[in-house]
Amino acid sequence: MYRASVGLTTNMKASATGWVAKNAAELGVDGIWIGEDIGLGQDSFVLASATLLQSKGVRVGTGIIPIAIHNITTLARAAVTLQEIGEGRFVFGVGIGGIQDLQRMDVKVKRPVTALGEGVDVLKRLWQAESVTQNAEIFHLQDYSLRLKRPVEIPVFLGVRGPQMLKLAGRIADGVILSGPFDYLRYAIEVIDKSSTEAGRKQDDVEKIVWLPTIPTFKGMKEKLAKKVVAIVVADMPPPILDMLQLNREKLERIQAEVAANGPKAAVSLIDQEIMDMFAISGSREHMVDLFDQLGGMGATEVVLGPPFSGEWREAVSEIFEEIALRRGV
Amino acid sequence: MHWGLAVNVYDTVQRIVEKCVIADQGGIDWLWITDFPAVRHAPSLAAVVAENVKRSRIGVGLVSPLLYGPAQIVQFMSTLIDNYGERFDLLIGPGDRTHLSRIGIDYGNISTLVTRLVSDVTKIRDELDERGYDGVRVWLGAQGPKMIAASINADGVLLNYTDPEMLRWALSVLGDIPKGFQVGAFPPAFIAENPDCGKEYGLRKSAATVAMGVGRAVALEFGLTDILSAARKSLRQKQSIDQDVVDAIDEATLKRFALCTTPEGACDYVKTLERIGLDMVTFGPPQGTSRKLVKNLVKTREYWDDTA
Repeated sequence: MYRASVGLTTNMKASATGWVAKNAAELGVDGIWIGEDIGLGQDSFVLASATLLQSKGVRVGTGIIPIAIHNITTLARAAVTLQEIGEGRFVFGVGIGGIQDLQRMDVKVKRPVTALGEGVDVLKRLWQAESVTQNAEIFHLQDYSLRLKRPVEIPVFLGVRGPQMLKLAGRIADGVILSGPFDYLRYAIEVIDKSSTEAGRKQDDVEKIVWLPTIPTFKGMKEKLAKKVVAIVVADMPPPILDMLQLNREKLERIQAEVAANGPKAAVSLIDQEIMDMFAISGSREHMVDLFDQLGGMGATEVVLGPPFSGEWREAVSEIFEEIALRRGV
Repeated sequence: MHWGLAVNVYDTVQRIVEKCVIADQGGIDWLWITDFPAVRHAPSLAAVVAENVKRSRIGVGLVSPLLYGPAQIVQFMSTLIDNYGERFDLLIGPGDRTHLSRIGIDYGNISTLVTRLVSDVTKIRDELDERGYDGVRVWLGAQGPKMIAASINADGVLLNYTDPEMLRWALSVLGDIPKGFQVGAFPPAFIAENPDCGKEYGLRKSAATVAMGVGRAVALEFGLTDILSAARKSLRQKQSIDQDVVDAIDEATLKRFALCTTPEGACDYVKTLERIGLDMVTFGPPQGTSRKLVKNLVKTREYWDDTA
């Protein structure tokens, strides 16, 4: 059976993120993932710290921190601090970040696969108490060490999409955070498994976390908000992934262009039911858990519920986790 | 007069929390948690301290705006407040130049550094105010005359001096102090019943670190140019402060940059600072390094409360 977690984003209010953390164990939540909405809302690391402190017994991960937005030493130090606060419950999710977000921040990464690979490598070396001298596209270190007394083990999960990134994750990551349409997810899991096997690793060595927009329409979720989230997901979808889908390509490209020009709100009118079904999990609680089960059958080791959160979302989360518990026979 | 303690961020999180709780229960008003180049991330650590202490205010910093942009600083301060209430202050400073250069961050044009820092402080204060977080006091860490003078743009200044004579000079540089502006001192400190000051390497190293940060103008002002020249030469060769650099500074000079005394002596020192017009003293390393030393500080505070 797959693990079931809740996803938060930094743009949620502290009252909402605190509610999830404080109630996670009682709800039967296995983990909490925190996505960074770059520059918006709460600080990722402080939120992760508060979530670790407010929750009991659940895994807490960043999902993801964009690697080029922060100094690499800040990432290394924050992860060490959170790992210690969480006493082993923290996992470090990292990635390049969403195309739209990076463009908005005027951050350009010329060679994203290399940059992410080098970044993860240097983080692991720093956590192994090594002193590092290395110049790379996104960092420059000269005789830098964390001055750790002993090595620290921090699981690294990569939030990735494209084929080269998926292969990289299969080779080096402890887990992968995936998002995208079902057809793509099936392909992505295959690529990761193949890559990890080729690297001499077991398929189980790499966890597969699937985090899709979840829209519990049975509890008053506003459709407009749901469509806005789906528009963002579509806008960040690279062309090779769009090629895999049985959808009108022109329609998808129109959404991408609209988001790029006028933001996700402007693209809401272009999101129809067919696109919603391809990119999000929505409907009744039973239907949503059916889809989670389907993802589990495809090889997902963990599914993530939410966001967006609106309407009576607390009740929706409770009911969905009740449904999951029922199916687990708890 | 407010009392602060520089938390030793090189401890484990568990020990940091234990010592903060001792200080909090013992009446220490401020717990300061420094950031880079320490191994831990100060804002994340501030959350765990806030979760465990009840009364003390928590100071985040020294934080460098060269490492975090003003927007990021506002973001972590507002997140701390949203989750733990209006209990946080911020200490801003450029950070150690050598350490920053090792992680790819350059001071840039040194002649505009103070101006840039003041601009960042203004941005941070304005943004926090605009978002309704007006209880955050933004301090500037200062040692040189330009930074001291510029600190008037912040809510307070934490002066990196121990010697009352140097602190008096810093106050003269500040000039007329606006209403509500706070002035604090940040001396390396070792308070114990029978302190053997010459043997306390941690204290001597902290004193040497401050002394090596003294700029040309201050060295001239206090006749330290020649006295510190051998240590500076050694530091240029070694690129870090070690035993040789510390030993190159005579004991009398090191004493001007650190407080090594008994609880009674520390109270006398605090009284002196109060008399010359300071509002706060934060006891720097090594006072926060062990539970025993933190308890000594608490005992000193109790003695202060009994005799004040």
